[in-house]
Amino acid sequence: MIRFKIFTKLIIFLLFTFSSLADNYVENVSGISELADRSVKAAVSQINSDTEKVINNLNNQIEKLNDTNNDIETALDVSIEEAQKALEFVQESLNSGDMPAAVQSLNLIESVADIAINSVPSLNQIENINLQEDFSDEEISALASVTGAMVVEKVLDVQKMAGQMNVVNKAGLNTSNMMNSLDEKGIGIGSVISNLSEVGVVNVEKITGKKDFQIENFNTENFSSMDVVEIGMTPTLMQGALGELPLGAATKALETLSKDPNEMMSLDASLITSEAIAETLGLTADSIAKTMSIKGLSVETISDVGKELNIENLSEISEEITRQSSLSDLNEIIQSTGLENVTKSIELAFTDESIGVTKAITKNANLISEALSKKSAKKGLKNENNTLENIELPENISDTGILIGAAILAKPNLASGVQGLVAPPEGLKSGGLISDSEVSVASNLTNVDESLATSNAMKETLGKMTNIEENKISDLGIDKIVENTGLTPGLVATIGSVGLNGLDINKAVAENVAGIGSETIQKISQSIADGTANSQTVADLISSGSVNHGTLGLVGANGVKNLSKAMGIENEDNALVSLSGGIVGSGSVESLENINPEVVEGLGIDPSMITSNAIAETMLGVDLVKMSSAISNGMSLTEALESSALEDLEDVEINIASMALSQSLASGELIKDEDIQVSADISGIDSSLITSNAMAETLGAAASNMQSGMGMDPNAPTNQPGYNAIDPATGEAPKP
Amino acid sequence: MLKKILIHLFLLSLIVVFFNDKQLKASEKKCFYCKEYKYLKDWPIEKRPKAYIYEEIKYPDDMFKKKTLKSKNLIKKRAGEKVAHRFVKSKGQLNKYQHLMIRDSAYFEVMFNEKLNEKLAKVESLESLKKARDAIRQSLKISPNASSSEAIYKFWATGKIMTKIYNQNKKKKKKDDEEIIKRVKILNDLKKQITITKSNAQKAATIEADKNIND
Repeated sequence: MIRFKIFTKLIIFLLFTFSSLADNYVENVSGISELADRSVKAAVSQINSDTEKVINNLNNQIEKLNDTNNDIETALDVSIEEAQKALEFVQESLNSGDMPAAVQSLNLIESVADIAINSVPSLNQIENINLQEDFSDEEISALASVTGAMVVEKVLDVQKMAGQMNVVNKAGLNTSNMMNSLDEKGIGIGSVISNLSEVGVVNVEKITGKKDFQIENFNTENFSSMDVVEIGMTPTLMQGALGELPLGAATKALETLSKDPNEMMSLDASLITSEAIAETLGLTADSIAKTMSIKGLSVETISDVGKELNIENLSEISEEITRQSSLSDLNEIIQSTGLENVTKSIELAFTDESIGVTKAITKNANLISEALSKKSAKKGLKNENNTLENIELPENISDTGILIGAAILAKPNLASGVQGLVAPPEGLKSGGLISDSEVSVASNLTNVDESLATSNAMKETLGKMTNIEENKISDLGIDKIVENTGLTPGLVATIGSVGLNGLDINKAVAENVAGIGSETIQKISQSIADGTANSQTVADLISSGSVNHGTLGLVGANGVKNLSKAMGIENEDNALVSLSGGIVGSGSVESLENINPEVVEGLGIDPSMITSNAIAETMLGVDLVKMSSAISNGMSLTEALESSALEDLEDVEINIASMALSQSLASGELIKDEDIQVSADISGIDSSLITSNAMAETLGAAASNMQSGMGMDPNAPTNQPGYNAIDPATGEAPKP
Repeated sequence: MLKKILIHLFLLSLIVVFFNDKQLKASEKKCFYCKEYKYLKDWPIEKRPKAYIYEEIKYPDDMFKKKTLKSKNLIKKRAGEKVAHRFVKSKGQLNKYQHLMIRDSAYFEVMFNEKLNEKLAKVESLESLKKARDAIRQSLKISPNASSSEAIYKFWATGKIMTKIYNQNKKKKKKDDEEIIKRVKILNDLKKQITITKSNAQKAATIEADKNIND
């Protein structure tokens, strides 16, 4: 009996030791090599010292606050208290070597602060509104679509927050208690999800299984990984939301619908008859198809997707959809799901600030109006509190250093997972291998082509990216440090560049792996890889902006070769382009005439227009990721080629950080004003590109275009006699 | 004398070369389709991307007066006036009257669409206007590939609802909320410091790695 007890204790001890070692990210990384050991410990020490300063500073600021009974102030106080607790947990996590929990605690504090700040009512509120009185059916459809597009960011934020809670909770901080305290004041995740559910953005019952949100029924890991159908978004908002999300999100939504049509249960209860559901499903499928068409997918490919998923409406789709307004289907959906419900939802979406619709519109309108009036406000960019200093990077920091620094922080930064809404690969979802503290060199989480994942290609790519001999790469453990992330070297370089500039790493990675979790995107990629894809499919992938680090890795060397060839590009090493995301190894457009005319036609351009070689002569290489993004943003092929030209291949290859940053800036709306704190110019890239002013400048030019465009019209009002920009009576600009 | 003439000739030739170069640079067109087609009439519809094909639109009810709707010329004129007023004449006030900017973006769409119905519209001018149109569409996240009618309805309806919000709010007085501002500032500061903490961690790892590789 005593022997048995000793044996049991020994087993428990061994299991405990093993499991703490498995959770000890710092120990695991340190074990790779001396280089890894020193780098990870430098990061730990830095977070420790910075967190200490943040805690002290916060305590000082709290002391200066007056006691209050005001509801809003009390709510803000609770969020500050919870932030204090989470900051202490950062230090606890670091002491136990759990760096992912430490970084995710920091991220969770940001999310909590965001909700609290947004809960403060501004003047931007409306008390009563009656859409049915003042707005036509078409206008209501338009508003539903705009609402759908504007709420996407909010849902992404909540999914991200759920992923953070999942990591931090597992590490030992009771996030249920934290959220209960915050929800009591209306500023926890439950309050946000309940408000979103009222509008039809999500459905609490689908998410938690209960009508009302209760934290104990909320599975953070599942929610964070759900797609747009699984979260219970109503079909009326889905059209606008999918328009804002990448193509893979739409195909993933169709996949979920085709597997289980009952997923779409958030309809008006009176309409839940089999006919009504079938009708709504059909209309929803049509609506999603139109969204896919607007994104650049051809009717041919949409029809193939329909056949593959056995969705009748889609498989029989015709060219007619390219001529129809996507709002017409939405109008029909609104009528079939109940006009009254929809109008109530929209009214609420515009009146309840916690939904974020009016704030999102105001924020975007600010950028446009500032750009058009050529007033760029740099408000909110400075860190007024000087307790924490930005570390200055030495000049000429090596690309290898940037890669290692990014790799060390990649898993901690991404442990919360990429949001399910963008259809990422399984391994990168919340609770997937990305949140595993173990060093797992065997698995690639971005579903990279197997022939590249198992070959020596990774090491060769790293050699080309860092200009270091392969032997030295092994000796220093650089290959293992990067492979440990489960990401392609190109994606790690992107994390490096984005993270050092203080931008949102999660968003940059999401942009680059979006859609990889969709079976449809996987099949399209496979057909490109094995050469069975027709010209239209190749054109579709490019024109829908779906060429990113994820798809380049997924299609592998063969796929990259086929994609590049279609665009007249010959690469020196296709495997290198696949794994580096085109950051290195991209070839040149030798002649625009080599571009496949069928692909050009598929991009919506008359092939006879491609006659000039002037551009090709000035270009040494082309960045496929940037080019695809440019075409999907409405640029013509020539403009896209110009904007993605690598003017000096040598320079690019010795500065991967600048290349990675420019790709990230091109591929998505990465920049938020509040993100712009850290502006150390590590990349040599034009600093104007690191701010949202890049957008302002584009629009400034647009404003000039607008004037010149009008100036060419002799009938334009500005060209009429007596037209004055300033009111001669008052000397002021005319009042609206 | 001959020397003077030669100097003058030399200077003249320099000036001619300089101006020719400038003219050449100015004539480098930043457009794509304009290099092939000067006027819209030269550009066959079947060869045009969808964005350059005229669309017949049923406008929102209160966007134009009934009289205006009877003539395409009147629609074009009215849309042009609205655009000129909002985006050129009053562009300094766009930020203040965002609701009107959003609403009048619908007229910009109308103006662009109506230009697509003019045989003598310059393709270069249209390409230039399309760039501006796509930029303005970003305010409501409208795809550059969406139809004009879709964009018009989105701008119009959103502008209408934002105008209602503006009109209600302009009557409200700002409350004295110093204590709230203090707390919001603490949270904003905290967010900024966390961003720096995360970035500093990556920088520290990067610098350390760089040192070790070079050792």
